[in-house]
Amino acid sequence: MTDATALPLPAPRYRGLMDWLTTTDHKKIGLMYFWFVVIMAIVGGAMAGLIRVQLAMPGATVEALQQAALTGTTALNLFSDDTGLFADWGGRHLYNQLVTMHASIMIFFVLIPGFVGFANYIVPLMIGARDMAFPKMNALGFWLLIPAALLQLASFFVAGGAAASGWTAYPPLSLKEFSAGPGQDMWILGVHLVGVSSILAAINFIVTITSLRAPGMTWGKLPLFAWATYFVSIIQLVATPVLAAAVTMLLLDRNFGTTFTKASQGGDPVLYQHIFWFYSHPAVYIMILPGFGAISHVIAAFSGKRVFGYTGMVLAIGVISFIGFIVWAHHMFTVGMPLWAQAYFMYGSLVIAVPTGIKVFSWLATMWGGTLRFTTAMKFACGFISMFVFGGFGGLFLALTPIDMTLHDSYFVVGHFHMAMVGGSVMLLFAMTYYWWPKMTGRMLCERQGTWIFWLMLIGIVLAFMTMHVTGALGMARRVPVYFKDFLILNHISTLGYVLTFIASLWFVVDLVRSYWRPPVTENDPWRVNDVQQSFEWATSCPPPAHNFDRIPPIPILDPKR
Amino acid sequence: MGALASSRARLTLLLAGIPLAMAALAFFAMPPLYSLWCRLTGTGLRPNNPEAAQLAQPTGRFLEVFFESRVFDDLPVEFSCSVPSLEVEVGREALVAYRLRNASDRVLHIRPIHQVSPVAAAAHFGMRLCFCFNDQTLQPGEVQEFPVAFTFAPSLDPRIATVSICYSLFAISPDAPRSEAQLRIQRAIEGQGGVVSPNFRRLSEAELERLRAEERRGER
Amino acid sequence: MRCVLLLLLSCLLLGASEPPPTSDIDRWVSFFNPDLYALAGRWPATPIVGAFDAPASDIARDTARATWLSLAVFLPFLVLPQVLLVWIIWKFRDRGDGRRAATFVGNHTLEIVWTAIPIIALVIVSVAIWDLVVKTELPPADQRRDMVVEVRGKSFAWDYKYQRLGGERPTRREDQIEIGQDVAGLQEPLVLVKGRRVILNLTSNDVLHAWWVPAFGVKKDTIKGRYTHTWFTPERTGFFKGQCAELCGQGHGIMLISALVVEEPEFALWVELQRRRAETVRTWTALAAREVDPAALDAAVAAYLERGADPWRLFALRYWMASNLLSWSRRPNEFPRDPDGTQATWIAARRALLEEAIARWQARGGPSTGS
Repeated sequence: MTDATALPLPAPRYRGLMDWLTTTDHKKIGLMYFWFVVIMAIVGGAMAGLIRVQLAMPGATVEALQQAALTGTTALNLFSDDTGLFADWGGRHLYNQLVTMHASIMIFFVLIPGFVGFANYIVPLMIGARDMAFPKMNALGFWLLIPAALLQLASFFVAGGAAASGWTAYPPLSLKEFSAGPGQDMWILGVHLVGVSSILAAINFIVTITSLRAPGMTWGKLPLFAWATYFVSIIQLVATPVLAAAVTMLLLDRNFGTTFTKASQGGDPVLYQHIFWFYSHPAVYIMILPGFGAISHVIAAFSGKRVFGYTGMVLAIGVISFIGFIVWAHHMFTVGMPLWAQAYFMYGSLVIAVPTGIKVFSWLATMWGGTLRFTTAMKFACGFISMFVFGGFGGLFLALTPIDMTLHDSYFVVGHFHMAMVGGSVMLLFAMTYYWWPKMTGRMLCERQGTWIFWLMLIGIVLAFMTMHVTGALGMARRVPVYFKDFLILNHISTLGYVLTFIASLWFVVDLVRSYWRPPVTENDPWRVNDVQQSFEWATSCPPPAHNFDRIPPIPILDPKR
Repeated sequence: MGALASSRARLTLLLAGIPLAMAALAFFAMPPLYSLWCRLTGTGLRPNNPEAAQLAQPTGRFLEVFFESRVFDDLPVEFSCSVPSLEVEVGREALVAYRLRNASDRVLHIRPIHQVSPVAAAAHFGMRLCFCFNDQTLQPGEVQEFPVAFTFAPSLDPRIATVSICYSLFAISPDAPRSEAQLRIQRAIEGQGGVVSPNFRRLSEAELERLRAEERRGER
Repeated sequence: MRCVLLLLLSCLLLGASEPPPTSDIDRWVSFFNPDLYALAGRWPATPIVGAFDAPASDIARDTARATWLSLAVFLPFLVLPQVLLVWIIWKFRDRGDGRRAATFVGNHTLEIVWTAIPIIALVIVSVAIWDLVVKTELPPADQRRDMVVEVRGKSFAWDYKYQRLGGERPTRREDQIEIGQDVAGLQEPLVLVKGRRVILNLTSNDVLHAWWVPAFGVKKDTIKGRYTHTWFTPERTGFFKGQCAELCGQGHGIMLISALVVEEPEFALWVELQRRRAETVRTWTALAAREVDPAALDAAVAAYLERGADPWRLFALRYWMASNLLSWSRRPNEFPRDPDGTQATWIAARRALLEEAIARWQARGGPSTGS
């Protein structure tokens, strides 16, 4: 364990901007992660906005189609002209680019690094460490994200545009034959960089949590956020390289004449799908499990109680992490597989509901009997439970093979994962921000505006994504720029929901910026929660000094199980 | 401190090894593992399970088999099976021929591959004569006939009464490396095992003669 | 629907080989080819039928039933946490009355209960749905009379090959029917027979697609170089919409599917039409050109009609012509680009040209059947 004496840190070599560019302080890196994620979320959210604009007015495309038919051209030739946004072939290509990049940005540059950023800032504080185990590697992990994001975003401006084959990049659509431009290659290389960044962060977290815990912080007392980060790091270590392998196969097939995915030359496009989903199903948990851990702290803190069923909570995260690895093919039921494989993947996927249920019920039990204080963070936590339960509920039906044959690749799926990722992960990130912002910046966020932001978000999510379940069950397919008129009203509701969500998000960002001009927080524990927490972050100033703790623990720490 | 540092270094090395191992596993082990999976389940491309069909005995159970043909890459050929469908007894070998004619005035390099539906039948489907991946070179106007001899194993699900077999043609570049299947035919012709597919019974002398003739045409 | 039945009845009375009278052609076309163009363009009046609200096949019906069943079993797990949450929020909110929070940190009985009860629910649903899993995955028994159709996805339309229409095994290529895009480049509907099971062998010409008609409750990916397989039995006549469900490139959104379920006799009629299709389409193409050469049109019509003196040929010619024109003119009022009826006039003119050509051919001594 770490020495109990305060280490005299060397004075920073630079000041101002250069200090941020060269820092290896986990707190500064964590904040940079945070702001990077905020910027990327605005970019990705704006792309979602363009998608919703098209879905609000799909008629423009339709009219172009009619016009061409009237002049006697055949339906297949009439889209070759490029005239106007979305109204034609080129517009539809742009639509596919937006769908692809919205997903890629939200997954690779918002949800995954969002939780990594918080873990970066909070986990060392929670376990009483002075920094991450490998500070320079930590900085490298962050700075790799910048070129990755630039690479993917810049691909909009190259010939042929950005990748347009969906974030799943299924071959043959993602092969040279159908996606000729360099955009797809840039996307692949971007994914590689993100992958390296994730792996570096994961190694760092595991070593930090294993070897830098303060005296008294045993495994049995480890805060749940640290536990979740630990498990997620293992997932990242095991799964991310597999994604890298999958997209590398694509890259080689595209540029170097290999035949991993080319049916006519002995390869198989379905092989890619298997490898891809072997990563991407666990990736779903990378995007939400850390929040599961963090929200336990928020709920406990504002219930004035300690977390209910600590051991069960830790085990549930562990079990979810493990099962996440063995159910990947439930994303591929419509590809066709033998009966026993269908049965296995179906039942395996259903089992995930059990540990998830344990977590939900444990959160409710944590609140039970408490003295609930509805700070904005707590509101988001409650909103998260409500929305996430619904998101998970949709997943039950998608896991049942015969029902999935209807729902697969429909808007039901879109509604389902947005409910889990926006209603779940994004609500979690909001709750975590409201909870830890004073610790991270020494400033409070506005609670009154927070209430507005919360309700706007919640209503927006309900309108946008619950509606999508209905749209999909009625028969609207995913990733389409035009749709049957039957879905017009439903799509308008979703668009309205999107508008509310986006307004709330921008409002939130404005409040984040404005908070820097508010008076600094003077106490260590502005929420007055330390007596119910098992973590150390509230035992130091807001924001903590460069060396984190003036007096390294042992600080008296409660056994969460007693 | 030294012990701590070294234990931390060991952990770090171990952790760094995991992604490397996983990447290697995914990249090098997944394709062969996947092939194995496909062979066991019949879900893969070009299903052929000669072992299952080898020991088959006639069962008196009949299937309707449909023969489809498709041409890709704008190949200027006429290509179809001699019959659209056939009544085939499970466990007894059936023989059909696909006819391929080069309708252009240039030399064509062609690779055929096949597919079988439904998946549940594919694992119990074996071919003794198959021109899948048997790359062809066709002179202008040249006509070739490809025999396909196949058997359904009695283990086939009794519910299945219709099966479709489709051969697709793709254009290849003339200097493409010879496919594994073609090399196997080469070996078979040279008498090293005498099989088109491993573990299957020897080709008859007449069939070998025919393969040799085809092979000679291909070499020309 | 009623006029179709009447028509059907008259067909039966006149003998099945008698084509319907010309005046009814429009109605026939609108039945067989209801929203062809409208489908591609105008999102037609035919409402989408979901798999759950109005299933139109046995698979969809079973799927809907399984869905409602699992919904019933799972619903408590959605409702209970929400209700509990609201109740807890209300009951345990801090009223500022100095109440101390409880201090319990666990309860093994409770934890075992909320682990076990979901497992029981999952087991119930798993057992209940197993039969349907087997049914959808394995091919149906007794397939001798089934229709077998090969579905080929291509960017961005569908080709269908009726490998077997149902009943007799085809022994000649001519016994099989291939349809796809019609001459206007629009998607032709897959015509199925009510109550006749159809087995689909799906494959692709290029990238991945997925064939999905929600009302039939089936969806399968199409993969180049590989067959996928599914089946269902249509149980209601009518027109059903669907679309490609796997991102396949720029035209993914307009890669629509239309399926028409008809009764047995109507299907026989449709099959008769298909047999004359290729020739008819050649003749019609002469008319579809922007500048029609009357001499060429006369020649095309005569060449077509003189090849066989059966009344079906005339009917077929008018059918295909009308089907392609009508798909444009079906709802002229709804064409935003045709406010002054230019397009309707154009179509009427084309039809008149055809009728004139036919009349000239008849005047030259062709048989006058079918009009």
